[in-house]
Amino acid sequence: MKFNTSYIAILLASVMLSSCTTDWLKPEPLSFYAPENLLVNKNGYESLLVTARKNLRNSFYSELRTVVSEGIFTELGVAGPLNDNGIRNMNLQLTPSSDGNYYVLDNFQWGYRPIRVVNAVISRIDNITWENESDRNAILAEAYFHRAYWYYLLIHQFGDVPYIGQEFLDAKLDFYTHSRWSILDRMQQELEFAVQWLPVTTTPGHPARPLGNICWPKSISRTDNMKRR
Amino acid sequence: MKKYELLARAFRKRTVSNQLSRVLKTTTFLLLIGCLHLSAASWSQTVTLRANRQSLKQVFETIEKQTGYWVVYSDQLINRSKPITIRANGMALNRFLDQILEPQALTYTIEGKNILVMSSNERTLALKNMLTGVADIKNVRLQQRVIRGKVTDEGGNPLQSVTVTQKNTKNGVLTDREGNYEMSAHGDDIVLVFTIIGYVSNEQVVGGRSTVDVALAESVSDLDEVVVVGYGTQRKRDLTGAITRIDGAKFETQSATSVSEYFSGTVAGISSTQGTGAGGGGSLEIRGRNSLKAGSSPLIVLDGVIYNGSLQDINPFDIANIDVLQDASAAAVYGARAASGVIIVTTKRGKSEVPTITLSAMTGLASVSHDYKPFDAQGFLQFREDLMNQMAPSDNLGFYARPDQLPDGVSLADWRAYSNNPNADDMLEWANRIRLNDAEIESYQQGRVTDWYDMRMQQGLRQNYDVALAGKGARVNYYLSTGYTDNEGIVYGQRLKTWRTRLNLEGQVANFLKVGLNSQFASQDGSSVAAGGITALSPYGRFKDESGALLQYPHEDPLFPNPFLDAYYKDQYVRNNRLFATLYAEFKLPFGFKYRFSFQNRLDITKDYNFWPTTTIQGGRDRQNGYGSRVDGHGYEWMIDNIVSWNKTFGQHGFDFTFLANAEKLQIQRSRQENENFGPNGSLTWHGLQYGINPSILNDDMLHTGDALMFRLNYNFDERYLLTLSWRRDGFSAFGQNHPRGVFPSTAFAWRLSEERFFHASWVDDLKLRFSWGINGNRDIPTYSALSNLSPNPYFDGTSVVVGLTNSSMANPNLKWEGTEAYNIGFDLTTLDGRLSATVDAYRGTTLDLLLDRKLPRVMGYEFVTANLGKLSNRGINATINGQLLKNERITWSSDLVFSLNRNRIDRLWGDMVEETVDGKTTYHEAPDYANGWFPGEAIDRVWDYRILGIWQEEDAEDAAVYGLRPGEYRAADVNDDGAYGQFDDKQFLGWKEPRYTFGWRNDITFLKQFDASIFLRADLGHIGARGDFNHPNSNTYDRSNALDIPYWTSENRSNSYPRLNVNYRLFEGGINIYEPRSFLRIQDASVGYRVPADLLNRVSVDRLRFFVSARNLLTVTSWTGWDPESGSSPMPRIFTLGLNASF
Repeated sequence: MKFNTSYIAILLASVMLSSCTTDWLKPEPLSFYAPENLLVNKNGYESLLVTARKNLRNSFYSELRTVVSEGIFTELGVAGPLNDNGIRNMNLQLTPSSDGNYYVLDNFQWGYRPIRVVNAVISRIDNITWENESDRNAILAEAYFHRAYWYYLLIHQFGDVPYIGQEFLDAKLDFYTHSRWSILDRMQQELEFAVQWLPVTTTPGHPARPLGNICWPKSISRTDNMKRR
Repeated sequence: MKKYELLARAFRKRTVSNQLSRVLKTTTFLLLIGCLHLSAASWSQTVTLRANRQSLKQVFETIEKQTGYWVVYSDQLINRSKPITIRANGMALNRFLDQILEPQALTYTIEGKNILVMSSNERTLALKNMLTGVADIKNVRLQQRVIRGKVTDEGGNPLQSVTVTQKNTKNGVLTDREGNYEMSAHGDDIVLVFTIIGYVSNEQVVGGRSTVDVALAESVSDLDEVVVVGYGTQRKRDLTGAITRIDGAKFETQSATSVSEYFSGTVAGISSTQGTGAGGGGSLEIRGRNSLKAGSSPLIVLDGVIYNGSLQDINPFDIANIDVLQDASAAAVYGARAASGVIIVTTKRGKSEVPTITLSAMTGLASVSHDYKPFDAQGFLQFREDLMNQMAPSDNLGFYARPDQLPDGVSLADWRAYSNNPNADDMLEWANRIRLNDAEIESYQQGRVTDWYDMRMQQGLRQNYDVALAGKGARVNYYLSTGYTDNEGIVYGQRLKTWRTRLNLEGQVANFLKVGLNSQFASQDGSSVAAGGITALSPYGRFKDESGALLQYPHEDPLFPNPFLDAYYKDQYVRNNRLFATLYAEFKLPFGFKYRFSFQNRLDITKDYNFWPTTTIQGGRDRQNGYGSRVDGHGYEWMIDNIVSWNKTFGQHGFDFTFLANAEKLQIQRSRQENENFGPNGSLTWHGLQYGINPSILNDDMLHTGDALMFRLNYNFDERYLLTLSWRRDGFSAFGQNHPRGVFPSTAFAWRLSEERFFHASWVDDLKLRFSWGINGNRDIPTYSALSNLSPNPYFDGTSVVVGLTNSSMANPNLKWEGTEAYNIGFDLTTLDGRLSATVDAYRGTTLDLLLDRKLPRVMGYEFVTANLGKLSNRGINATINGQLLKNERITWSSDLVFSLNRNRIDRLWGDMVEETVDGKTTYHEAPDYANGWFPGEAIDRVWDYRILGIWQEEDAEDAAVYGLRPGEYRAADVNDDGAYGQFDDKQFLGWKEPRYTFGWRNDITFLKQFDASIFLRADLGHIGARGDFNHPNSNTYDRSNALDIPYWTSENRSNSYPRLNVNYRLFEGGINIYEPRSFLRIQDASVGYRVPADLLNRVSVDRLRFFVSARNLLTVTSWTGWDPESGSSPMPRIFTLGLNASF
C-alpha cells in the first residue's frame, strides 16, 4: 500500500512540473478591443473616427469650455463668479499650471488626444487591403480634417507646438516644437486632399465636404496674412 | 534490512512494463532512494550519539537507525520520561541502554531484534510473581493507599484532564471536570507528579497525606508554542524570521466584525486605520507602504492556503490564532504575493473528546465619538451676517445687522433708510438683506427649526451571535460554526447584515492518509442606503411636506437636494454570497516524506441592484420617470497546491524540506444592465427593468492565470544554529509577455545565543539573534495593464447612438512585478523565568521596479504608460515587549507594549534629471512629480505646501494687496520675496501625513478571582493632515446654504489662524491648505468581564460562562478639530458592547 501512494506522489509532482509552460500564462482579453482585432475592416476604422467626431464638441458643450473661456481673455467679457475664484487678475492668477477652471490649459491636452486617435487611423490606414479605394480615401480625408482642426486651435492658442504625425508605440520623451507656419503649410496640403474625398452629402455629426471647404481657405489665409506682417 | 528488501522487490516488479514514463518515474524514485540510502548504510551493535536534552523517543529512533533493532515501549511510559543528555562514542548497546534507562527507573530486555523497554517496578513485579506466586502479590497490594485531591489553576478554577502520576511508576489517572482525582498508590515514598500542557508541572511529596490538592502555575514561556509559517509549522524557538502571533482568545470581548479590527495598533509593524462604516474592518499595511500604484495590502493565508476572498467573510469567532509574517524570508515562500507581508489565519479545530458547544452573544450601541456640525439656527443667522459683510460689503455701517442689535450710533430709522424700499416688518427686511429665501423666512416666522445633524447621526444598534460545535473523536476532528451579525452604523441608513458559517472536518482515514475539508460560506446584505451629507442644508428648511412625503429641496433651492431621499425612497438590493472551500489529502510516505494535495475553490456571487424612483433626484430630476440598474458578478477561482515535505533529524543535524507546485485560475463575469424612463409606473423597480425605454448593457469579463514553484530548506545544528533557504518562481498572466515569471529567493540565519556554552547570564532564559534577506514580489496590477485597451466611447450623432472606440492606453510588453528586497535583523529575548520577553526587529526594504504611471508629455496624447521604473524604500524598527508584571492568587497583571517606526522614501521615479540652482549652487537631481506630490528623496506622504504664517489683518491691507489678497486671507511665507505665490518658489516641506511613531499598550488584569479587565491604549504621533474645510471651497454659494460650524475671521473677530469665509485660495498657485497635527492618544479598547464561578456552573453542566462589558474608542486626546484624526473626513464611531461567552 505504501509504495502505491509514493508512486502517485511522484507522478503528480512530475506532471505538475511539466505542465508549467508559458502558454498557461497568456493573457486573454475578454470584454474589450485591441488594435489587432479592431482595425480589420472599414467599420473598425470608422469607430476610431467616431471618437474624433465626439471630441469636436469639447469646445462648445459643458461648463466653461473654449467658447466661453476664450471670451474672458478678450474685451467680450469678464469672468463672472462672485467670489474671487474667477480669474480677473490675469497677471497673478493665470499661470502655466492654473487657469481657474477655464478651458485654456486643458486645450493643450484635449487637442492632442484626438490627434492621437486619428494618427492611429492614419498610420494604420494601409494595414488592410481595401475593397474600395474610395472608402480608404474617405476615412483618410476625415482623419486629415480632424488633425487639421485641432492643430489650428493649438497654434492659435499656444503658438509654436510640436507636430505629431504618426502613432506612438513606445514612450517618447524628447520633443521639439515646430513653427506654426510649417504646421499651417502641412495642414494646407492635407486639407487639399481631404476636400476632394470628404463625402458631399452631410450627415449630422460627420464632417463633410462643405466643412472642408471652409477650413481649407481659412488655413491658407492665415499663412498668407501672418507672413506678410 | 527488511525494508530495503521489500523496496528492491517492488522495483523489480515495475521494470516489467516498457513505457518511457514509467522508466522516468522510477529513475526519479531511485534517485530519491539513493539519497536516503546513505542513512541506512550499516548496522552495528554500538551507539554513537551526542545528545543534549533530547527526548527519550528521539534517542530510541537514533538507536533504531544505528543498530537496526526495533525498540518497543508504551507511550505512557515514554511521556513521563525525562530528557536525556549523554555523550556516547561507539558505546556498546547494552551499556548505552543502561546509562539512559536506569536513571529513569526503566529497564529493558532484548529478544531477537527487539528491545523491550518497561519500568523497573513492573519488571521486578513480573519476576516476583513468577518466582513467589500469588501470596506475595497480595502482600504487595495490601500496601496500597488511596490518595484524593483537587487540581486547580492559580485562580482557583478546576483543571480538567490533568495527568496525575506516581513518580517512577506507570501508575496514573486524569482529573475529571471538577479537577478531582482519586488514585491508589503503593510504596513508601509516594511522589505525585501533576502535568498538563500550558502549565508548569508540579511534584508533591505525599508523605502521610491522603488528600493532596495542588494549584498549577501557568507556563508563561511560549517557546514550545507552534507557530504557523508558510506551508508548514515551526516551533517558536526554531524561527529564523520575524513572525508575530496573536491569540484569538485575547479578543473575545472585542465586538469585531472583521479580523482587521484586531490589528488597529496592536501589532508592531502593522498599520491599520479603523473603518467607520457599519461593517467595521479597516485598512492593513505591514512595514510601510511599499508601492505607489500597486496594492499594498498583505496577503491572507487561511488554514494553510492562499485566500483571495474578502477578509470580512472570516468570522472572528472562528479564529484560533493569527500569525503575521513580517520579514522577507518568512514571507518569501509566497513569492509574488508577499511584498506587503503575509497574515496567516488559523481557524479552530475540535479539541476535546466530548463534543463542546461554544456560544457568544453580543449587543452594542455605536454613536459618533466627536461631533462636527454645521451651524445651528442662531449660528446660521450670525454666519449669514458675517458672510454678507465679507462678500458684498456695504458702505452703510450695520447694514446687515439685526435690527434689535444695531451698532452704536445707528438708529433703527437710519438702518431702515439704508434701503430704498424697506419692508414694513424690520425682521423681514433684515431677513431679505441676509438673503434668506421665502421658504426660510416662512420657517423663521413660524419658529420652525430643523436639526439636520441630529437627524443624520444615529445611535446604531449592533448585534452579534455565534455558536459552534466542535469535537475530536478517535479518528475524526470536526468544527462547525455559524454566526449572524447585524450592525447599524452611526449615520442614518448605514446597516450591514452578515451570516457566516464554517465547517472544518478532518478524518484519519488510514495510518498514512488524512483527508479534510475547510469551508466557509458568507452571505452579506448591504441593501441599506445611508443618508448623504447635511452640511449645506439651512436650519430653516423643512424635512417633509404637508402630505408627509419628503421635500425634494428642503429650503427650496434646487442646488441643495434632500440627502434622505435615497435613504427613504431608493430600492437597493445588495447581496454578496461567497463560498471558500479547501479539500485536502495528506499522505504519510516512507522515509519521513509527507505529501499534501489541496484544492481550493472560491465562488463569489454579487448582486448590486438599484432603482431610483421619480421621488429621488437621480430618478426624478437627472432622469425622467425613474432610473434602474442591475449588476451581476460571478467570480470563480480555483487553486491547486502540491506540497511535498520531509523532516528528519540526524543526530545534531535537523533538516526540514518543503517543495510546492501550484497553479491557479480566476474567472469573473460581470453584467450590467440599466434603463430609465419607466412606464406605466416604476412600481416593479429593479425587478422589471424591461419596462424602461432606454436600455443599456455593459459586460466586463476577465480572467487571469498563475503558477508557482517553491523550494525551502530549514536546517538546524544542535538547535543552536538555524538556517533557512528558500526559492520561489511565480508566473502571472498580467505581466507583460517578455517577463511572465519572476524569481524570489531568500535566506535567513538565527543563532540561539543562550544555548552556547560560553553564555552565562542566568537571568536570560532564551536569547536568539536573527538575520534575514529576501526578495518578495507584488503582482497586484490590473489584469490587462500590459495590453493596449481600446475603450468604448459611444456618441450620439443627432439621430442614433454610434459605437466609437478610443485608444487611450499604451501597451507595455515589458511590464513585470514589483520586487521588494528586504533585510531584517532582530533578536528575541525571554528572561526572568519567562516573565518578560522582548522582540526587536530593524528592517530595510527597497522596492525596485516600482510600478508607475509614467507621465508622458501631453503632446503624445497618452496621459501615461504603466512601466516599472521607480525605486522606493522603507526602513524601520519594530519592538514588542511582553511582561507578566504580577502573578499571585488574588491578582495577575500582564502587559504588552508595541512600538513601530517606519521611514519611507522615494529613491527614484522615472529618472527625469533637472539642473537646479539653489543658493548659488547648481545641483543636478531628479525632477519630482509635482502633480502627484512625489519627491525623490522624500517620503510618499511628505507634505509640500505653503507655510501659513498667519492671517492678514485690517491694518495689513496694503501688504496683502501686493499679492492680490485682502484682510482675512492666508498670509503665507513668500520664500523668494517676489510678490507672488508661486509653487516652485514658495512651497516648502511641512511635515508628513503618516504617523512617525506608533505605540500600543495593552494591559490584562485578573482580580478578585472571577473578574478580568483589559485596556488598550494607542498612540499615533508626529503627523499632520490638511484641513481643506477652512478653504471654504463652496463659498460662492454660501449665500444660499449653510456651512460647517468652524471658526473664521471677521474684522471684529481677528483670528490669526483661520481665514475669512470667502477666502481666495486660487491665488496660491497649486492650492493651499491649513495643516493641523493629527497625532492622537486613544483608549481604543477597554473591557471588564466576570466569570461565573465553576461550582455554580456545574449544577447546570455549563463549562464556562463569562459576562463582559467593553468599549471601543472610549476616549481620544488630540488637537485635530475635524471628525477624527484617524478617519479624517468621516465620523468615527464609539461603541459600547455587552455580551457573554459560554461553552457547554
